[in-house]
Amino acid sequence: MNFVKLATRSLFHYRWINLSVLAGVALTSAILSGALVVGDSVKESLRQNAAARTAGIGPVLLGGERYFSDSLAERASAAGGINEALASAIQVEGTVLNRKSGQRANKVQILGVDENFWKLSPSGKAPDGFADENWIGINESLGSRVAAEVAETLIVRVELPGALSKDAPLSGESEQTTPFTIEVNNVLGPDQFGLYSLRAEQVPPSTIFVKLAKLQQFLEQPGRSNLILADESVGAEKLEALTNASWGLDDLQLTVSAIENGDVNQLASSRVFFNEVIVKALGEVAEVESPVLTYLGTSISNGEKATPYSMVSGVGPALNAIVDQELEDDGIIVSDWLAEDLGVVVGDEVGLTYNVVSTGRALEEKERMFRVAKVLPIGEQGWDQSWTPAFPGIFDVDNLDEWEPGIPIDRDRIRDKDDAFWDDYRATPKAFVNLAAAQEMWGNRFGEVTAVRYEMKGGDEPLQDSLREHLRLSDLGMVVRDLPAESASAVANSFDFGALFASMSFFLIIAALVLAGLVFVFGIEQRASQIGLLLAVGLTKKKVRGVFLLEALLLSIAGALLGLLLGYVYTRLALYGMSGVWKEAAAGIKFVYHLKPETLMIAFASTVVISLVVVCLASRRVTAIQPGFLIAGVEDISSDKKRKWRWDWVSLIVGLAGGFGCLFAPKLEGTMAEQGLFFGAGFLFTVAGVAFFSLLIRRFLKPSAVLTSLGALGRQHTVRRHGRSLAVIGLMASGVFMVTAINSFRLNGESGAERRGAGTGGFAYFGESTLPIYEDLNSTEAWEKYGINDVEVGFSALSFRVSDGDDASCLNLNRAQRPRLLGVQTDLIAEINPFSFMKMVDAEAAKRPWKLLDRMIEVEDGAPPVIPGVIDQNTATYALQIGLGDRVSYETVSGAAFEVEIVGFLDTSVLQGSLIVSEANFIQFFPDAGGYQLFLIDGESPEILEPLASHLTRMFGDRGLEMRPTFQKLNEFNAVQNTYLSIFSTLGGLGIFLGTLGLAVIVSRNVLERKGQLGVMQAMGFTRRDLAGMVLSEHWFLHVSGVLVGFVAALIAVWPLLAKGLSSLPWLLLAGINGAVLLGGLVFCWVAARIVLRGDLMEAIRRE
Amino acid sequence: MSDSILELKNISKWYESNPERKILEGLDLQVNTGERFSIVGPSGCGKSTLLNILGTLDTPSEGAVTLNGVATGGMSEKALSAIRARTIGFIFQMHHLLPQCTALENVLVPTLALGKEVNPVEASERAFDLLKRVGLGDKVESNPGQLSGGERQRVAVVRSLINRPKLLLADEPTGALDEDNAHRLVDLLVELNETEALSLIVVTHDMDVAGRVGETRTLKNGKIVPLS
Repeated sequence: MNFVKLATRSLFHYRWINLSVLAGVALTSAILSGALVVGDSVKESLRQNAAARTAGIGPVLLGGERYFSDSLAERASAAGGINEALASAIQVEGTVLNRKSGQRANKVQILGVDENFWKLSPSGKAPDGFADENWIGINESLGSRVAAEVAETLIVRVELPGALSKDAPLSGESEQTTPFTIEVNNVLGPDQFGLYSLRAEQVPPSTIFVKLAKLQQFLEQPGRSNLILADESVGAEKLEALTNASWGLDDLQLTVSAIENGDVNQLASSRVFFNEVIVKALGEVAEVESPVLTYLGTSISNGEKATPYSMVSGVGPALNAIVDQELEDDGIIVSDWLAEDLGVVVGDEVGLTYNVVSTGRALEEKERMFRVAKVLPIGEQGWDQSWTPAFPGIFDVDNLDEWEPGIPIDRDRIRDKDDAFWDDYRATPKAFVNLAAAQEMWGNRFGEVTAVRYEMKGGDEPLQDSLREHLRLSDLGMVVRDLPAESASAVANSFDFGALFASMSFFLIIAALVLAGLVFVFGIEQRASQIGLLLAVGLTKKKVRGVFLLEALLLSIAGALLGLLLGYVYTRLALYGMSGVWKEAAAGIKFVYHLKPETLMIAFASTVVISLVVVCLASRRVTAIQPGFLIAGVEDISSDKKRKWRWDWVSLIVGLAGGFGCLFAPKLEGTMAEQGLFFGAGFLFTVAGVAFFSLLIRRFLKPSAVLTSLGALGRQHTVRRHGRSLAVIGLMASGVFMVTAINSFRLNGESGAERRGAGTGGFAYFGESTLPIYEDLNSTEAWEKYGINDVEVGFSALSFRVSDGDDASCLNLNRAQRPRLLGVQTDLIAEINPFSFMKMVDAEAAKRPWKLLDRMIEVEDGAPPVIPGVIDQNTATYALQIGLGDRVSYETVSGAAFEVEIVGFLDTSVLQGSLIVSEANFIQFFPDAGGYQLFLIDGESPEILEPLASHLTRMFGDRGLEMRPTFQKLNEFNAVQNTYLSIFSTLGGLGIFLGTLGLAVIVSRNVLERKGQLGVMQAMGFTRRDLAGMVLSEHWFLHVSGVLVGFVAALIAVWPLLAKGLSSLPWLLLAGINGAVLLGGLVFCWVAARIVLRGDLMEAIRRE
Repeated sequence: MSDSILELKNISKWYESNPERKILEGLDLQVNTGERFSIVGPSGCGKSTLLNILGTLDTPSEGAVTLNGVATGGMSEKALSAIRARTIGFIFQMHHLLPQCTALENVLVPTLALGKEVNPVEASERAFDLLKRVGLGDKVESNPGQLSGGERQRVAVVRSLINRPKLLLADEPTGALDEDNAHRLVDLLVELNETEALSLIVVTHDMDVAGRVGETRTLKNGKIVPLS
């Protein structure tokens, strides 16, 4: 005889009870393993999605705002001996319209690709017909969005890439979009890069594939591209090294021209304004260098006399014969033509008027006074047009009438002599000032130099070679991204659906464990005398417990193993649910079943451990009883009932007082705090309700309540088993309460949408555009230009600049690598204060929290600059996993690192998923990101603003502006949380339903325990029906009481939702769950009572 | 026959829920090696409580219990379990055989408490011999469900002897048996007392059983008094 033999014999002997325990453990294991495998499957689905997005693509070089020569890829390939491994491409965003269906798609990625691109695709082959120069492919997502198939004609609109940002001064007027018509040849599936995207997002993008040469033609960028894609075999470092070793001046949009005898050269940029790093690098390699800044003066005046629209250059004394050391900051050298026109001589004062770009894109006119230092003949000593950069809309036109410099031109001011000057001298400056004065006046975020003159032997080649040593592509915003590493990180740190489902299955797991524990303890209690005997013959309590734990261990192992098989069903059902009714929780992904052996190991081990703990806790009470009592079959008689009475009263009073306190506490309507208080009230009322029934049950002890009926006699038993009875009420009440009341946290964006502080910010409409909109929608100019006045609806717009990044909102299952940055004018948003803050670093900032964005953050020398930013709390906590005070790293357009420190957490809002910084900081780091792409429109209501929204959508349709009521946008985010709540309600409801099976176990126990008693009653003349009625009245009373307490408390918790209309509550689901729980409990009680009472009751008497 | 195996001095017992009601009060009792007597008394007089205290299954509220010259008060659960395993054998009114085990296995259950001290082969042989001695040699592989009431109780007696105890405590051992089986069981216990040199205390309310045991003492008002 040994312990193992004893345990195995017991397992077999009590097989029916043990099978029930086994079922409970198997269910636990199935739920746990199934939930965790859901996590594995989602991760694998995301991995496969990422693989389909990027396939064979390794690192990529992004040109940012720059278009480099598409031969850079060839040069880099040749330098590294990796022929054909690099593909040049152009990637831009645009809008697509299917005129036939009338459907439009915004934010469409338009890709210009060559043969090399397709070698990186999942299939590795170019689509059929790609050889044709007019070939066009669209992906399935775009096809379904605009209802387009093969041979469909689509109109695509893109913005022509400008040499410089549209926000830059003198950027020209060429901001219009260009349409081009295409005919679809192929609709591409995932195998043919139909899911291609550089973003770590699972939602399939909409894409048009065009031949590279064709797109270059459409975009007027012949021979240029803005993207290089490398094969997986090429590492990021290698691509960076190869491209840095291969770039030429043309790739940086730089040109060199010889000035004066070839000794002096001038470096100019087609982007007009120079990046400072280029000037610095040139300073390192040239023997002498002299920066130049030329700008357009709107007027140079001397009293009444004024010369309109003149170029003025600022330059230092080196490498020219015009400006010398003597020229003071307020000195100006004028041409003889200008001196004559203004009638000025040396020593006279002239005024120079010019426009600069202030906040947003607004122009500000300024004037500065100068004293004439010299008058020099134009056209001599190098006074020529070479000083003026190729301003768009100025340099390339034939006469002044065609000027479109990007500032208002008063053509009435242009005289014949000005036309004559243009004919003779074109854009030659009319005056010179010193460089410091020029930079003070016209220096801007795009640069402070328009050309650099330098002295260096040789031509382009030596300059290029020398510059490469001091200038890296990343300094100019042409960065290499390690796509495979980013994808892997995005998937590895993606949202953990395994944990989500495991936590949402909490009630199911608890119910299964409670069931297993109940049955196991039931079995132990049946064997109480055995325990007593084992203790009496000298086994220690530890050893006795060990025998039972050994049994439990064997059962747990078997149950957990069986559960792993059943877990497959759970996972399949969950994935099916997420592809169907719960699709909002994980939009845009096709799920695959995938499990990792280690996950099963974890689920198995956890189930065994949890089951053992439950059994250990459940059996502790029995083994703690004196062996003598166990053997005699009597209960421990040393309990203190008075103390329990006191606890009931305390719970009742505290529950009621706390519940009413929560109900009547002052609260802000429509906020989470309000819902939280109602939820708290409901919970406390549940406690009070259970305490009330505890007291009521004790009342049954009173003689008046006993023996008035057979039912009353049955209920008397509830007193004898007070703890067990209370457990039934408590479990049912808390289960029904939780599953119903958790729905009080359902979000409805429409509720209180007009209020500041709500998730909508009180804004009526939310607009997003594919291409930037440069106008200030609040300005009278924009109202006039776009006919907004005619709509006759008052509104104001809060506009945001957007730096593209990953969507970090709950809609993206991947871990966002670089959340989208939004830049907002802090004065404007601080004035409105539209969104609620959950937390901020400085409590004193609570009155004007948005001003936190203007704070300066000190950093140590050499450390990257840090700017303040705010983000919504859920995005920070769950998607980015960062806290207040943490920093998120970014790179500036010039490739330098900077960080955004989180200074505030917003409540859930339409800005979810983006990091918000001040516009001033935004344009400092992203000077090229011109215009605004996100708009919040303030007005009376979505209904009143509807004509305006339609008008704006129409007017800015070519820029892909999409307007919709703000609450609708908010509800897109809310749908995710609401779906989680539905999942919880369903799984929780199943758990409670399963819990009602526990009620059946309790009925069986209660009946079996007093079978003898019931036999005596039968002997007295009561029928089985009478006895069944007595047993049922007792248990139905407990069950209905529990459901009632939970349901009433839950109604209180969901009251705010009830008061605002019933639409947002899943009534059908809740009615189904609660109905099933109520009916299930009643039926299970009936079945259990019937089965147990079917035995020979008289035999029980004989045995006693 | 004068060396004491068990001594109770000034024992009182009450329960916390009703401290006014003393079940035992100032009880003294000495049990010598090989001694045999029965304790009788009406229902509820505390006979079983006394037996539980004698068998270290319960502790007195007051007073001292000395077993083999060692006071048990303050002993750990583990030490008390070891004493029970080595020194005391129990027979209850109900046999409390494990239904999942055979007669032989039931007899061997107490050997589990001694762990490696026991040679399993020797223990099995002894169990078999003992079962044969009580007339159950042909029932060793039977489950309790296959045995009669008297047979089950005899298995329980053998189980109490397997670890060679020095003191055998029987609580209403014949309560569930018919007269014939009851007489045979008491005779067996007496025989074991005489041949195995173990002390025997039988608690019963049946005067006939008490008479067959021999010396009879009465539990009255919480104290042991000679039978009047």
